[in-house]
Amino acid sequence: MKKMLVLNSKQKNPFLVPERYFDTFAERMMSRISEGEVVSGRDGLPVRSFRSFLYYAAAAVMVGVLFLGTGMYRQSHFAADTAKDGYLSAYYSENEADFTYDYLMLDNNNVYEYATTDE
Amino acid sequence: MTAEEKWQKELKSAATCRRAFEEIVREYTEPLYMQIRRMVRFHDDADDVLQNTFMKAWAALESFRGECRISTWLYRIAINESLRFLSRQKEMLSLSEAVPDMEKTLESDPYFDGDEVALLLQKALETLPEKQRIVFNMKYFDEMKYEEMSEILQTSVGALKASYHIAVKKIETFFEESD
Repeated sequence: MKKMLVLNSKQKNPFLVPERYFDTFAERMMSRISEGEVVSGRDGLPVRSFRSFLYYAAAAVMVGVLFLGTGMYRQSHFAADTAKDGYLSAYYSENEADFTYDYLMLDNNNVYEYATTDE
Repeated sequence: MTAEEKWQKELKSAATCRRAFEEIVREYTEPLYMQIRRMVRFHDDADDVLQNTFMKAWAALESFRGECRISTWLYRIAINESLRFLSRQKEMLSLSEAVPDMEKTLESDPYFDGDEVALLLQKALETLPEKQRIVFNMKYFDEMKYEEMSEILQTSVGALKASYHIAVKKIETFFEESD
């Protein structure tokens, strides 16, 4: 299948946004902050409310329990995984480093061309 | 005084931090949104993540010591929030039996204006590990310098160059195999 080679700013960014989204975002954001999701501390700088602190503390306890359980399970598999990861890291550093600097010569236009031209 | 210096100073004072933060939101909404959108793909999701990014930034103002530029700090939060969103999305999809077709969903998205090649590129990007996709997006779409990326991602320039090179190779292979 032949692919068109089109490289312009529109093609580079195919994502559209609703009309006036950026114009109105700051206002929406600042009123959300005003609604008190984050309250000001004694010195006027924003800090979390006490309720938020409780939620985070409860979440931290649950995460701690989960990690403890997961950690105990994974310890038994750690040695095998480490050996495999070490090999992969060494493989990448040895074999990819040589190619890296060749590719540094390519700029972004060439990348797109490379990816889309017919051979 | 540059805008950066002015904001760094004003963020430290209760009297001026809110006004400074609003100026920062206006300045960085669009570039942060595009960074996030390229990760999460759909506008509604990008809007959620962007709002979370600024909420987190606002909540963390006390702990921001000006050790890096405001833009660097915001990009880091935005990237972490995007990764967090994608991780939650993956968890939800793994619990569901339906496997969404990203290509078809994007094609029918009214806020996606890409042609066949653009769609294929998005599909190719979907196959990359998330952190590799971030590096590719920053280099290819945002045309960021590696030094700037290194500051944001707290990864060495060499590692970023290697990551970008690997991403490019994978995308090339994807395009070749899709013929």
